[in-house]
Amino acid sequence: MRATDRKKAPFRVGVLSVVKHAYLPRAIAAHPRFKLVCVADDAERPGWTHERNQSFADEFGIPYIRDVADAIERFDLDAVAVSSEAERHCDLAARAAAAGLHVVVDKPLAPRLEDCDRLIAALERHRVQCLVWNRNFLPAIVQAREALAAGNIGTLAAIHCDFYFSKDAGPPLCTRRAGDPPIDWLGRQLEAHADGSDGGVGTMPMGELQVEGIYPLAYIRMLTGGARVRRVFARTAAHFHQAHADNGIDDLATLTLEIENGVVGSLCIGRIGAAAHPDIGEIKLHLIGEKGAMVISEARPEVAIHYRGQPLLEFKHQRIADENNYLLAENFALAIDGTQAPILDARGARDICATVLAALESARSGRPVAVKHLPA
Amino acid sequence: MMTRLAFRLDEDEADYRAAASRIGAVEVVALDENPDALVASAGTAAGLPTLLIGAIPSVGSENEFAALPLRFCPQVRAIRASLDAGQLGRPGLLRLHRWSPPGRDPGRVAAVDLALWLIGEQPVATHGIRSLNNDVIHLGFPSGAMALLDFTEALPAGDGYHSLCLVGSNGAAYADDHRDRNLFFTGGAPGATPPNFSKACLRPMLEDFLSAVREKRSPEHTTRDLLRARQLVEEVMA
Repeated sequence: MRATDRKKAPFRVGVLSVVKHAYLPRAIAAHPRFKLVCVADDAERPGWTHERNQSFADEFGIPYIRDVADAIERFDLDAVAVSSEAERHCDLAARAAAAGLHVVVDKPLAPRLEDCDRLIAALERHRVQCLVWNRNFLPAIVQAREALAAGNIGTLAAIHCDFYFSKDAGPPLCTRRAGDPPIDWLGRQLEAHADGSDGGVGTMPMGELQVEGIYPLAYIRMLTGGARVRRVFARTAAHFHQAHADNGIDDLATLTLEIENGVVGSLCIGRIGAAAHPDIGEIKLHLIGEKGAMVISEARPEVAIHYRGQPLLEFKHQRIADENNYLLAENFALAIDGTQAPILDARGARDICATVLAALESARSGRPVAVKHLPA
Repeated sequence: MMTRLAFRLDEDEADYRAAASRIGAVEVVALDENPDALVASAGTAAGLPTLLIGAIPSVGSENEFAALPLRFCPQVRAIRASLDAGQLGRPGLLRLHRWSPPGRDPGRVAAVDLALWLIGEQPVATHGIRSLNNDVIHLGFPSGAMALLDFTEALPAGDGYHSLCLVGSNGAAYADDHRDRNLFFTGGAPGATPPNFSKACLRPMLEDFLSAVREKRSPEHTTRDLLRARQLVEEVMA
């Protein structure tokens, strides 16, 4: 990857809502081509939103503005970092794009296709860049991409991904006592802020496939050269966590993928509980080409650390040499410069959103479902 | 009481004999030495209880036993024991990757049998796709459990690759050739090879067969299981 021009003044970035785990704006702040200058959100947001926004602004010594339009107007922004609830991603991003600002937005892009389409229209009308957060720069994924590009296994014919997060999500399934109310989704996600597992924060319950599916599907998309999933068959279940069962969403899903160019694929994804793995979870890619195959562990390289008194839930293997966040920020800077395309742009993330929604429809109907893509 | 066991196999008979020699109360004899049971590639002999290796028993046969070696692999036995002990909770997902080089069966029927056996249900939803030498079989079960199995016969000549993950409500089990490989440096990139335990299923499979013979168990269940798995593969991939 080419380095960005350090001599240029850093891009001025406004953080539009930072209510989840804040890895995205932190990654942007850590890159020398960017400077966070404010946090902004809509005044009518609930109190917990303002508290989190204010806390992040205080940490970085920047103002928190309870008016997005005012912040855009007053702070001479070049770009925004959107880390709101997923259901608000596209609205905030589209408002920034309409003001001519580049956008880096957390995953998943949106829970609805119409939200994606509104954002894409705004981005293209105002000719601004958009990077959707992903994990495609993890060292093992880069290794897979380079091996494919070098032709080591020939033309790709099949790709299978296992993507399990061994995290809990509140009380286990079947632990709700008679008479207790169902678990409130937003309340549960607000509790989860403490351990960073609040990726589905918002009023709209979203299952593991909707929240995290963008990661493995972005791998598949990149490693197939941007090929789109044409048709999907899926099964889903709430197998582990009461909050998922109470809200009618999945914590386990399996997908069979029919991909352009005749590639077949599959995906298993789940939030399978902290007891199910000593680390964050088994995450693997299996690629079969016409000349060979690859089995890639997303976690590698890693180092094992064990010690007396180690907390039960502490990961025993730590990932090392992980520069994914830095490289994403670098990619965003280069995209703004006009010298590199975003590694996952809004159209790509929209394709993934469409695949996820088709999978959920398939799981409901029991039939394969064609994915509703925009015209190429 | 000693059981006299004979063999009539097209392949790997020495491995089977070696495995039988490690089992107590078994005497390996020739077919004309009045055996109590037979391990054969096809057909029975004189109505002997027969474990059929690589062949489908006749429907309704009282003496032909289906061999299901995958159920007896050491990693599968460990996972089954954990499942039976309740450690893993309710099965939610079985994921299998089974890859082989051209000309070697990646074991679709055995893999589907394993899925049905570990999950303990018959599927209510099935789906399959195929592209060139790559198949995916997708099963959904009444409890909500699911199985996703992929197969290829497109590996370069040499070793195959097997991976099994069973995710239950209380935990998960992983048996993956990727983990079991050792590195061998002979210049350039190292080779990655597992210790050879490919025959480790034979002894427990023979022990189970001999127990069935001694206890006069019917072969009906294993035959039915194998035929169901084969039918399912044929239907899904049709």
